[in-house]
Amino acid sequence: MTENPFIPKPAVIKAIKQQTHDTKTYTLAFVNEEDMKRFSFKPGQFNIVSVFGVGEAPFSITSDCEEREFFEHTIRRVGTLTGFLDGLKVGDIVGVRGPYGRGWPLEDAKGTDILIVAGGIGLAPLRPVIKHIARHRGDYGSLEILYGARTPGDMLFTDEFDEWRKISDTTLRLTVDAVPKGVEWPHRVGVVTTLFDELSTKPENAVAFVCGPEIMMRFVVRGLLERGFSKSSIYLSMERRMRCGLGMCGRCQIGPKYVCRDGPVFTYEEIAPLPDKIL
Amino acid sequence: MAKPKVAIFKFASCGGCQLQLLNIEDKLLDIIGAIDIVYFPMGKSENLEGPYDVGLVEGAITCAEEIERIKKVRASCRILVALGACACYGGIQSSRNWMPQRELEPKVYEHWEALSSTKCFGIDEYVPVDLHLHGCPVDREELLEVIKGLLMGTRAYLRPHSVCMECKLRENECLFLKGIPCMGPVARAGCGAVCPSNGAPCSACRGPANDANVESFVESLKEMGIPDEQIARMFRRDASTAKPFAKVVSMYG
Amino acid sequence: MAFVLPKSELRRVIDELSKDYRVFRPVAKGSEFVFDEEGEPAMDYDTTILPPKKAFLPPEETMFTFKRETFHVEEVTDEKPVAVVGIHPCDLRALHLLDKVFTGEFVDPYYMRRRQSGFVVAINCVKPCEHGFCTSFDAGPGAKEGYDLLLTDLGDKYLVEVGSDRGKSFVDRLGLDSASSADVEKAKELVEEAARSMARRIDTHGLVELLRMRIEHQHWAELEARCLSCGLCNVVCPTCYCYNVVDKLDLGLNEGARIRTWDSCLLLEFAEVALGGNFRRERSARIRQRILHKLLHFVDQYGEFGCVGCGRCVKYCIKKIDPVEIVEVLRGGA
Repeated sequence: MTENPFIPKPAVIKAIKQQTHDTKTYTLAFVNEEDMKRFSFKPGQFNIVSVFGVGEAPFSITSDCEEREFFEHTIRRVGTLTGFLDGLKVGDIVGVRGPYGRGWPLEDAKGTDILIVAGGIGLAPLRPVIKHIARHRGDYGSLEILYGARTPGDMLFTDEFDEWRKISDTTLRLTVDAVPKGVEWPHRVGVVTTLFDELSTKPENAVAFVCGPEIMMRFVVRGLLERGFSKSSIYLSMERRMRCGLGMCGRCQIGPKYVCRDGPVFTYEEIAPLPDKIL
Repeated sequence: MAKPKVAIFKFASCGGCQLQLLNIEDKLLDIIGAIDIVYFPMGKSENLEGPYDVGLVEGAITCAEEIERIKKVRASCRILVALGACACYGGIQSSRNWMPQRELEPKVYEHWEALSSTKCFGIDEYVPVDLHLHGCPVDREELLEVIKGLLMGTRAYLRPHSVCMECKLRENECLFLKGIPCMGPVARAGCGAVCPSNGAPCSACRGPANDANVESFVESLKEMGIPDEQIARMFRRDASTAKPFAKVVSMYG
Repeated sequence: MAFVLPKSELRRVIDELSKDYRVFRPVAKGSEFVFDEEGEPAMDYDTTILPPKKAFLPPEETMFTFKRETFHVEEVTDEKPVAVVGIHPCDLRALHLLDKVFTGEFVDPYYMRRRQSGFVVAINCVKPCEHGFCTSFDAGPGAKEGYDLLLTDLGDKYLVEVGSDRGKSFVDRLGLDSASSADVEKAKELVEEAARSMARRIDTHGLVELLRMRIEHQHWAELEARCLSCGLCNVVCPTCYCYNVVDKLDLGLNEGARIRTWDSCLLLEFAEVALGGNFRRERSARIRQRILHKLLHFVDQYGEFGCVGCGRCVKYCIKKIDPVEIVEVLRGGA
């Protein structure tokens, strides 16, 4: 009998790192060595994480894809399953199946400049991109990262920012919607498109990788089009609820696209004519 | 983990929902293994004072004394569950809300001068409610799912859509299409369409579905020849304190 | 290769199949019909409440059971394969479409196992049903492929056509007489006559291109006011395949099952995302999703129309929302 793709494999929580007040990064490894050996993913792909008795949901993989001993998910506490995951400890077991979906087009993007625009938790699926470019620096042109969050306390991966800034020909620009009293903030204030007046990436030979709340991506896309980026050079990671990850349960469809199978990363050109989106 | 302390309270109601708790007797032993029912006047003789982890409240609020008591109950419970149509929407006795008290009271009581009853409401008219368990009476399976959810710290999936879907899944003949006014299309599911499955039209004891299109539904009732007065009666029966239903009652009542 | 089966012998077909299969057949339920594993077959039924896809994709099925403490998982498989006797050509074509969804790039093991081990006895329609428009999609009234055996009602007997090796060996087991060329010809005529008398039809000519331009159209908003969003059209549809998944625990909170159930894109909660977002909050968007998925998106996804014209959605809709009518309005006619 062929393997049943719906049965998750046990993975143990190796480490938990608090990113913000409501977001943690979970370092996971499959319990069975064979599963771990067979597991390889591309930046932008996702796993479906299961807690038996609670349910399962898709989460993007946030770790370096060349790291083969473990993988990571950065998860914000927003609902039943994520609330349950929030209560788990190192050593606890969850179920994982994946990886699924089409990630960022890093092969096609070789030789081009890369602009990353992320909002809030949207930086999670882009972290593997940054790590990949750092490892293969010569394959790509300049790297510019625009990152916005609600407050400085809502920013992910802050302890890695210095490391990212050290990657050659890389710029990191930060902004927050609001700065609470008493917090020092040397960067910009305003939504992520505020940073567009500092934008140094030229659209001629560049691709933009965008991830964040759909309403934020709407404004980012408009801003990028105004600045000369083409519809086909803007890549977006879409989010819809899904049950299977295999293009069958139908939940994640946007028009004819299955976000799980055809995405989650699409060009704006693919998404633009489709119904039922904010973009 | 210490067993959660559970209390079961009764307000204006028939006791049928508490009876459903006793009706899951076969499973109740398992439940008692996992929870501690410390206050349940209908089910046991020894009852303890609060605070409680979970309070299950049956019944509607119909007088000043009950308003005061439900507020105390709320204060004594970490999680408060409205159990059944009365606690959720006022239930069958809330159909009296549509008549002035001065006309209503003498109809029922000889010495009405001494009464101090108020309009009848579900408990969330007065206190915040963490979870609504609909139905007249509540469904045993849903009750069990809610209890399990409380124990797991998760939220049970309670069907929020209309009864039609459950009814069709049971392959019932559609009563509405046979000319019988059935509230299924606008009523909240979760009961497994128990009434239509037994040939009786749905009375919407669970209140409105999450996306009930009552205007369109009423139009169909009128096309069917149902008089306005009967339409008002259908929407007044168990859950007329729910906004979409109240709108219809005030239009046709 | 054709045979004849006296009508009195139909029962024998079911009994014989029952030795190896759970045999779904149309049976009367009040004034309606349903596919059931018990009861006298009512082969001249018009349509059934739920489509026969339920034999291959049950409304609720346990995918696997689990133990939380040990992470022990046990896959659930059927004890007996399923057979469907009396499936209409439209519903048969619907299975072909579901095959594309569930056994394409990724394979759904539950559905695939049932289809591979299943046995299908189809029956041609010799009189049109009230709501059907199957000829629009070449889905009836005659079946073309996808059956093990195909029956046509010739009055006193059935013509039995064979569509697979499995069907052939079953016919051999029954020991049926060969059909005459007159029988074969009569069956063909009856089906052609049924096709001619079909009153309802969706004009599919240029439909895909048209619908691409009708994604924004005022008619969707008009349907918003009418639709009850009860989800009934999804439940009775032979080609709807969306499902939901829930975990159900026993009271000990250790053992449980992962269960999937038919879902409905007409329901408000279907396109909900985290934090209360909803990409199809409007009923108009949900009706549009259902209609365009069948007539436009499915074509983009799988190369064929996703509707078979069985007519159940309009038959059971309290508001009589009708794909035939919707397409006419979108075309700017009627």
